[in-house]
Amino acid sequence: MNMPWYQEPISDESEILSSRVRLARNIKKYPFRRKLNPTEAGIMVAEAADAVTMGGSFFRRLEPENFSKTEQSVFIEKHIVSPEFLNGNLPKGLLISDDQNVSVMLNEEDHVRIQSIKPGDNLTQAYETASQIDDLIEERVEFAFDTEYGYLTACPTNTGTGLRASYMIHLPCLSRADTNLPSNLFSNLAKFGVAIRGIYGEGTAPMGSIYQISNQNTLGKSESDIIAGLKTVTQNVITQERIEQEKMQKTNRRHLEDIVYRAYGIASNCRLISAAEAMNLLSDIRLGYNTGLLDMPKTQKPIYQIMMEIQPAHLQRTRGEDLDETQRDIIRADYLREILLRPV
Amino acid sequence: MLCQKCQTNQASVHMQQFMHGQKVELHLCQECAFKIDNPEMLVSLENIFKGFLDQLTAQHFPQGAMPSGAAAGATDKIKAKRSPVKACARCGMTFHKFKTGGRLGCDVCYKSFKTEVEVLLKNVQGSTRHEGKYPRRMGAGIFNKRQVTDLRDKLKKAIELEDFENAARIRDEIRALETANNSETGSVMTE
Repeated sequence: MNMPWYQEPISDESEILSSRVRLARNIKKYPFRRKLNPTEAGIMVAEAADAVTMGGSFFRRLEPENFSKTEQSVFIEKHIVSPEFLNGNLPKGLLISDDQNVSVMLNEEDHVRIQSIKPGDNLTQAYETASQIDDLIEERVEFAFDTEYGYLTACPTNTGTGLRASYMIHLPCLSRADTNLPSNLFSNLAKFGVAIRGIYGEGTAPMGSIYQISNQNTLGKSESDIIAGLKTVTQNVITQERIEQEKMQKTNRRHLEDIVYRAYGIASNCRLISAAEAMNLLSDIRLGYNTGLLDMPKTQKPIYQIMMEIQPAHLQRTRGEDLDETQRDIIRADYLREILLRPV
Repeated sequence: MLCQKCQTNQASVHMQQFMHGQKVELHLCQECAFKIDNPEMLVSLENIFKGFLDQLTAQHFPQGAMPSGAAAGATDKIKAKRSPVKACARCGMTFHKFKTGGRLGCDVCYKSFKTEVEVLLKNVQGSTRHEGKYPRRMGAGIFNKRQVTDLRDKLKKAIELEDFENAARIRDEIRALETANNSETGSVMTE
């Protein structure tokens, strides 16, 4: 069995942690979700679920309605489902491959949302997988499609290909060098039809220096052009990151060493730690390993996997249901020490 | 500052996103921030659409001199004067509901609000023409269908320019393609 994307060592190899593709489709004979009544929604979900599973595919059908709070949050933290999907009261369905790399949400904003995630830089492969699932479903149901506008979606920002392609990228040096990074670099990217999103912790330090970069437009370009465009822009951003990294290594090597060793020191000795702080330390440790500046035994698990596992719901699930914030901070600190000090 | 989502905890996570040329800022507590996969949903597309759709409403219902900067208030007045209400023939979605919610009700809405949708697509997507994948069941006929759409545009222009010789030629091409199309795919393609 394949591993989930975030457990693959390839996610540690470059700035690109993972590649993700989402296809939005609607079934022609039903109105979109906003105008769908519960009875119709139930029938639609059953029909679409059959279409996915009857193609002899490898999906398991889950019942999102019966998820515990923790299970819900785990799926959200993994970006497999959206919070909106779980919150809605209409019937819904979730189909997922055993390795969790491919999933289909039924009755989210659109009737069918196919998602495929691959570790590292594998956007084309991710698209091919999603497209195959699309073909499979389409053998049994007719999608709303217009020769002029393409696939018709509830929101016109998804019309056409219904394709949202994205990379998760790690930009520790750029984030550090320029605290106004998003404003300066990212507003330029909008001109290329690319949206970038960063998550910011307290103050100006970006949380984990992880950004999601995705195509903005879904219409007027073929799927392969959209992917190629996103790839080019992302490569440019990564080049900027590497230039910055080299500059820092050349002019301020001692400072950079201090950052990565300090992060390692805190992460491997702390007794209480928030998810946000842990993310930032792991980000610096990742930078340390990738630049070779941190001369410590490499963790067995990829850093991305550790980042995933220290999220609140993930901890909750592995260590018991009802943990308060302090208990989580304790368990998180214990886990980090264990994983960093006993790497093998 | 309170979290924009739950409105109870202090906001400790600040997100910035650039989309469709607009900067969107979010201030959330840690709990809510981790739950956000798609901030697009949270800020709602209303903000992004509103500008374009207000422009459109103003174009459709010009009320003489409209003071610049008072667009929102002015469009509300225009809306109030509007009659009859434009609604989708299939699902009953109204233009007003679409404008506030940012979501269409069904596939036919794309035809019911064709003018509005096209303005929106041009502004938000920069295009109104699908160039990507198409459902296999549509078969090869779709290529002809696309060509027919292109030719119809050309025909319109030719007629506007009073280039009737060219127009007649284009008309014959359209007929030939449509005949080929019908014999290949039956009536699946009818609009």
